[in-house]
Amino acid sequence: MRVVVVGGRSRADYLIGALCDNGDHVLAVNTDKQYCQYLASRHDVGAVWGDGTKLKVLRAAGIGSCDAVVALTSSDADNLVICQLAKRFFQIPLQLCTVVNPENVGNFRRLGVTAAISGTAALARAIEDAVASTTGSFHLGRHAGSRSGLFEEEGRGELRASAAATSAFHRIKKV
Amino acid sequence: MPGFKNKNAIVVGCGVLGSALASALSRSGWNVTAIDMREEAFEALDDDYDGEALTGDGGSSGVLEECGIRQAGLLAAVTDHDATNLLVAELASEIYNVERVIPRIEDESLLKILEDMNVTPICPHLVCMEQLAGTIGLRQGKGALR
Repeated sequence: MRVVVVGGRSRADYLIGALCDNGDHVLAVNTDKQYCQYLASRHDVGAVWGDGTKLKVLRAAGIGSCDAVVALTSSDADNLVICQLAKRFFQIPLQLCTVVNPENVGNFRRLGVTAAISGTAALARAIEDAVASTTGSFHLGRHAGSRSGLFEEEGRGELRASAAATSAFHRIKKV
Repeated sequence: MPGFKNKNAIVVGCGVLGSALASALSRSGWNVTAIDMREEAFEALDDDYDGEALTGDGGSSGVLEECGIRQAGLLAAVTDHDATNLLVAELASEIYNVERVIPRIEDESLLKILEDMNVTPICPHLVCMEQLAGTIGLRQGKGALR
């Protein structure tokens, strides 16, 4: 499978490594030139230096042949743009992203993104579970959008959104 | 303002354009809520501004609900960032069914994404081109708003 990973730092590093180990062909797009050089040397990937929220950058990177786009920037809005550009202009069938605001898990799905993964929501759930297992029921904040099912199975212990993204990705791949 | 039954407005982004718009809407009798992440942005509002000012992230659906987006008839997304304006516009249009949604979007590729939605984007450089073309008497090759 061909995957383009846009943005991110350590999450991109981890995810790209996991995808390469899995035999997927990966293309990275990142606004940090040095980080591109790092990714290219660390993994067997093409790394394009540029802003993945710009159509001309995605076009120049040649993402048209990709099966999936994963947007890992720290801005939910930028991740939405990346996913929607990929879908609208390149017909990339799978669009995934991380989101900071847990409400965007549900919102982004309604806006047509295949999956949006929230590390914050997973963290809140894990804290609840951990406290509940020692002191009884405990509810932390709102769980708007947390019923996506993508990280309900992640559950306790595994909090990193990059890991959630990787396994969510593999689960969607099987569909 | 003809045709607007619901006169509740939300203006996301209180910069030069946002503050002018919020002030003008307020002066025209709209119930306005201006949102900006920076508290000092509201100093740009006119002295006679009669609406609300909320410090917060207009890109968050929770904050928009706090501002009464469910009762809004008009939402303008006029921050400095295309991506934020796009997100706010899509939330307003697709999730909250706001009747009039007007984002400022410079990047023409993002205009295409909004094509199928009930959104009226304003592209500053295209608007300026129309004005300039009219003033100088230029022929515009590809047409005004593509």
